[in-house]
Amino acid sequence: MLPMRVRVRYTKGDTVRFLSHLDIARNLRMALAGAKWPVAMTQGYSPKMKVSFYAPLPVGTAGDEEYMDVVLDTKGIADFIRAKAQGALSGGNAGRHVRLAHVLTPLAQALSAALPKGIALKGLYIVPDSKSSFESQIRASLYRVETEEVTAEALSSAMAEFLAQAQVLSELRRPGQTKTVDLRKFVESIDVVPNSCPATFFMKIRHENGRTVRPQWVIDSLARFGMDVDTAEVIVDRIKLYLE
Amino acid sequence: MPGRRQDAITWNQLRRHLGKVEKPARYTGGEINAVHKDPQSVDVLFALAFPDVYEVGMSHLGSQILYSVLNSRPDVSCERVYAPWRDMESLLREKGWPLFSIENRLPLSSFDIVGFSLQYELTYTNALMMLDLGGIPLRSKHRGPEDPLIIAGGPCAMAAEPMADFIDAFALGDGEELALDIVDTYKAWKGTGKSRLDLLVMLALVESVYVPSLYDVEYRADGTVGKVSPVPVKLDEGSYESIKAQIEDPDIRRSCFPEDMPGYFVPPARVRRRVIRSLEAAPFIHEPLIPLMEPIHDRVMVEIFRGCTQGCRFCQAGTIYRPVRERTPETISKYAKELLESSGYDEVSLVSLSSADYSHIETLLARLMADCPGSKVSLPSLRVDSFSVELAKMLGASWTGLTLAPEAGSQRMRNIINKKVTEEEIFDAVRHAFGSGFAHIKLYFMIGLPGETDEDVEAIADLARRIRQTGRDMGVRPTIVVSVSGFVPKPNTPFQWEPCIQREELRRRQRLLGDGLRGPGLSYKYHDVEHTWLEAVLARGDRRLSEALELAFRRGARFDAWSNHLDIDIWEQVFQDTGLDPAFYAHRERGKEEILPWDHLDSGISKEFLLRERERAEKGYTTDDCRSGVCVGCGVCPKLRVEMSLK
Repeated sequence: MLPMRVRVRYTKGDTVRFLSHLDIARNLRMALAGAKWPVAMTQGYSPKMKVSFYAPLPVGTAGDEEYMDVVLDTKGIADFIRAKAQGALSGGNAGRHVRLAHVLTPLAQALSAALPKGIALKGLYIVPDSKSSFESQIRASLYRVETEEVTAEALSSAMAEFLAQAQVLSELRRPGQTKTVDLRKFVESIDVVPNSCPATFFMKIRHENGRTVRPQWVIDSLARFGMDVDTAEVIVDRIKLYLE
Repeated sequence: MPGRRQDAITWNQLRRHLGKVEKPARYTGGEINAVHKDPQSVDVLFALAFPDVYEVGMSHLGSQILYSVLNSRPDVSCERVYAPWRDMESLLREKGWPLFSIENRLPLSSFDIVGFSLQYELTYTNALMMLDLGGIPLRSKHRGPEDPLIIAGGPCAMAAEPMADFIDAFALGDGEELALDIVDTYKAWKGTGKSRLDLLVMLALVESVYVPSLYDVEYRADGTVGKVSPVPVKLDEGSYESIKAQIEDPDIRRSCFPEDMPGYFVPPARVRRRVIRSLEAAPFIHEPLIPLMEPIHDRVMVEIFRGCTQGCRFCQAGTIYRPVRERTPETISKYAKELLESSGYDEVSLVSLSSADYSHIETLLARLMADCPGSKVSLPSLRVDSFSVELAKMLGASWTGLTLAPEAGSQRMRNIINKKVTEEEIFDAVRHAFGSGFAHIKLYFMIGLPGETDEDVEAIADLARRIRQTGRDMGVRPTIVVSVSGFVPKPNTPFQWEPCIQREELRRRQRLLGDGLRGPGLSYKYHDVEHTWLEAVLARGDRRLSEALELAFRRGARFDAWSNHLDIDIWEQVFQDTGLDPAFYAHRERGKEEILPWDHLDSGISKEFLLRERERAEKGYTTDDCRSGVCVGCGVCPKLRVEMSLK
């Protein structure tokens, strides 16, 4: 039998925004274990769950549309359903004709119950178990950004200047090296909500071959257009992913 | 609720600034099984305060137990607070925000009771920082009716005189029942309109509660303690009668309310440690807190027994948690299974002071492996013998390596410290380990022990080299890590009278040992000498040290226990400025007749026993473990009216 790959859509909510991606992944793995999902394991000395995560969020950023893929052990699924369906399905029919809903509903219920507050299950989809990465299908992210430090008006003019540039180069300091990246190239659109208070804007940022930039970097670069905002005081939420 | 109410910090305020600090999830809570009660709906608001960072505090089983026990009461809400890291402290000060609890983000000053867990002397300055950041006066005598009651428990409470001026009441011993007694006493006082002194008197009448301000300490010209005397307290008539009427025990009534001193309360001369009779019957945490951020120990914990009677003469835990009280294998296995299933963890740690000593350890492990298939079991604190290695092998832990603690390199020295393991047993153990596929062995030792010579220090290196050679002879390419700490004499141990060796001498012995540990397959780790020194100063200090603690805190001492965070210059200067001689505390041998600053706190261990053990140490005699059935006369069982409870 083919392994079954389930795509889990979840939110990284406001209250868990300060968790690192590693901690989010750890919590999801623990919830899968707690929910008794029949997750396929890697071979080897210390087997690990076959799960993958996409477009990780940094500490401080919340996300409305996050994804994790889980490979299920096909043999385990039958046991899982049997255990969960006891009583729900009438005795005679159990195990003969199992509809998709009979698989996904108990999986969803069990996972929902095991997730900590702040991480919420939004959907489950069965996807082809292919090696082609979901990451490469992510075309852009839409962020909502809030700042109390400047007015929407000041924000609008700085953003307009930013968008008027052909390129906005920024130096990214990484351990051991400094890279120069053109932020402008990644920013597809910026919409400031007129008269919003705190000043709010939406920013659509491209992903190219799995590479993207953070809204905080764009905000940092606005200093050269006369807008000085401490990125540590900005509230950033990723509200949507655009898929191919 | 104390009058000085401040509003909770709102989430919106917090989230706009947490981006500036390292690991902000330390301050945001949201743990699975965290308890959020409406502060208005309870009678007593209790803040469980852990004077170290979140990840460390979340791995502390004792705090989890108290959190669960206190929150099981509908009239109590227990919230948690941890030491904010330096960057968070700066943020709080910059914003003018008080230190707040994790659950409801309430300022520390708005709690009724703040209870610190004092696990280690080098966290004392953090406790002061937390009080200060929480808007609570540091010293008990400066607190008013609107301030919370500040209590402290944990192993340090048994000898926490350096903290005596900052803590209103210490809770000595097992906390499960004691914490509730304190809450009940507080509740009985709250709302009566009686004074804070009345509350302290009521607490002093609770078994195992030590109220330091009710004791006066006199010092001799040579600086040693001359006398610790209970201070009679004049109560107003109403209080006197009502408090006295609550006392059922006629002996306590007679001694604390003497007839020749009408209107006066006299605190008990000695305060005795509390012990729970049975661990089997003790409350168990069915819903442990599971942090969203990775803690130091990322697994569920089940305590298999409390107390240890191996009798290692340097070990404080080996005296102040006596007697041994075990849980049954059935109960342990049931709890482990329940926790593993509900938590999503795949590892359970069986907690005790010496796991291999558990009466039915093999039965237990077999049972756990049958009941919890696919889960890992970890056994900390193994003995150095082949039986322990066999247990580690059973658990299939070979890839993680093996940790053994011979504590000393020579047989002579091991006899002195009563670490009852022979050279033969050590080599049996390591041969067994290498034969079972363990290639990485970590060995713990101490240097600076009483009576130690250079030969004893060199014997550590020699032992490590021979262990490595044993592995090589068996065709293994072993790596041996030798981890060495400096010995600190601790209160309530047979070595409590011993001097701690000087820093220079400790450094010399460290180098001496390092010279012998060069070469492939050997690595050498050692603790910072300054940490050992400061711990030695504080561990056996008296209450005069509170001046030094406060000044060190005011000058920026924080996280003294953390490597690279101890600023020893602050401390050196503080001791100079306060005129307190650190050598008096760290490097002085105490006389046998000397009144020690913790003598009025009764751990149950008799001083005669400790002295006898010290003499036996000098002669190189070992003393048996009373688990074998032979009582060694430590005094705990008759004095505390408990019994060893093996299952």
